[in-house]
Amino acid sequence: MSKTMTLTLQIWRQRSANTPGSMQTYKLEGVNEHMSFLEMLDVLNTKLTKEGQDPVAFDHDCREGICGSCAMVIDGRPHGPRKGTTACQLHMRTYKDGDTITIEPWRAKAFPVIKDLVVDRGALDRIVAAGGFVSVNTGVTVDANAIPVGKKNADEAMDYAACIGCGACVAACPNASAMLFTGAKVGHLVKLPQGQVERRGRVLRMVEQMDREGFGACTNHRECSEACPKEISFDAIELLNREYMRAQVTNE
Amino acid sequence: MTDAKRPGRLSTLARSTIGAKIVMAITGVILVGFLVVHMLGNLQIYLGPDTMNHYAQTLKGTPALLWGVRAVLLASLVLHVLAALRLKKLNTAARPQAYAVPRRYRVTSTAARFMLLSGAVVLAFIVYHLLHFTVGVTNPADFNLHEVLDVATQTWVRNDNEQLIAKLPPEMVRHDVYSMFVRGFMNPLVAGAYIVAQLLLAMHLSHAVASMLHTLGLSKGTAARQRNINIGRAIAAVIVLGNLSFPIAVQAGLVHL
Repeated sequence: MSKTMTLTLQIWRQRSANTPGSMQTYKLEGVNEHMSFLEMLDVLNTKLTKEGQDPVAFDHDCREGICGSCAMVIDGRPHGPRKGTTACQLHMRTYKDGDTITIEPWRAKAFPVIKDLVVDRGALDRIVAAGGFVSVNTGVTVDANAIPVGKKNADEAMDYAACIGCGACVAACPNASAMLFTGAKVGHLVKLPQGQVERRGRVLRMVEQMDREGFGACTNHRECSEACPKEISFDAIELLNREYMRAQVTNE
Repeated sequence: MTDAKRPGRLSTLARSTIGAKIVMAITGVILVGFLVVHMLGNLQIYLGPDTMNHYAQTLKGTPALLWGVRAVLLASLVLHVLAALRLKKLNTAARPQAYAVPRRYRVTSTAARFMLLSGAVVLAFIVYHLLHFTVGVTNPADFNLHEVLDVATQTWVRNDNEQLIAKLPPEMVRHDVYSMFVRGFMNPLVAGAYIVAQLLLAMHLSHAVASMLHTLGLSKGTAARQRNINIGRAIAAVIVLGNLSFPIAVQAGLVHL
């Protein structure tokens, strides 16, 4: 037997980017403790649709914690209360019958609200497009392990590459800074031999794009790495600072 | 990605957020370094008037060094404040719409969140402190105190005869910094203002020192970062406890005229 609960939901409703939004209260009964947070919202939306109301718009795709789509601040924390957990992997057993839960979108100038909880995170894509890749010739697929990579570097590169680009770091930062994201993208390439050729230009261009998008600057609160569902270390920011300084003083 | 259109160097440093942070950090290192030296120098108050006044005489006796250091400190302070204001403006603009529900922070501190406020109080204090003890306009009666060299005994003796002091060669006269210091802190209002300012400085430094180590990218790994945070708080505590001891010691009568 699974338990069910009744919840009070306070959700940010905003019809479009240019209309002002506000928090709306909904009562939801019969929430199963085994539901994921998004399934709970599905139940709410089914109810709202049946009642002829507009369902709550929210981003979702894989629902298994790897796509980075589900972006929502739950009770004042990006992705909710559990560490290293995306909103889709958060389960209702975390909550008790009678709880009130607040849900609102990421708040940043660089992430304009499209509707309700959905924000445009294209700014992160543009930072990657500015240099978060390696240029290689197309042609025959290179053999696996043709370029040796040390274990330590491979591990660190993988840890940075775990970033799913969800934007929780920006949402958690008091300054809406995207430095953890940018640091992870710079970090995973700088740890690999393939990333060395464009090392200097990459960090300069990505930081320039990051600034152009209107993200804030890091003041070392370290909230980003605590909120990150993939637990990207704050090392990413220190690495970004070092890479940026290195790029200022070298020609490579 | 070709590197034909590489961004320029100093131009990107001056414009970028990370560039402004680096300016904050490097000027911060200079200012914290000065605070340590300043506090250690003032500890000589506990060694008595002769040591303290000799120290002051030595500093004033090397004007090139004195003014060189002052110029570097002033430049650092100005750059530090300008970079802080620029970053604050950018950071405020980065979130035009606030969260409807206050966020629940996990690791940040009150000190980290109110750096601009504590910095503004410390800046106001620096201005007052310079007017008080360096320029001598807030308490002129305490400021123009001198000692004169007694040639017979080769000791320095307090002398308030301004006409005599004006006639004596400079090597025979020195500022009585010890008395200025003690008289300054005998006023409970002045002592209280210094204590409040030091508490705000403690708040500022408790985040600032660790923050500049992070910005300079000096910690790799969580353990190293926690160590740097602890080092930062220890440096802040040493500076502020030393500084707090001065008004308290005078008020308690441990250091007296």
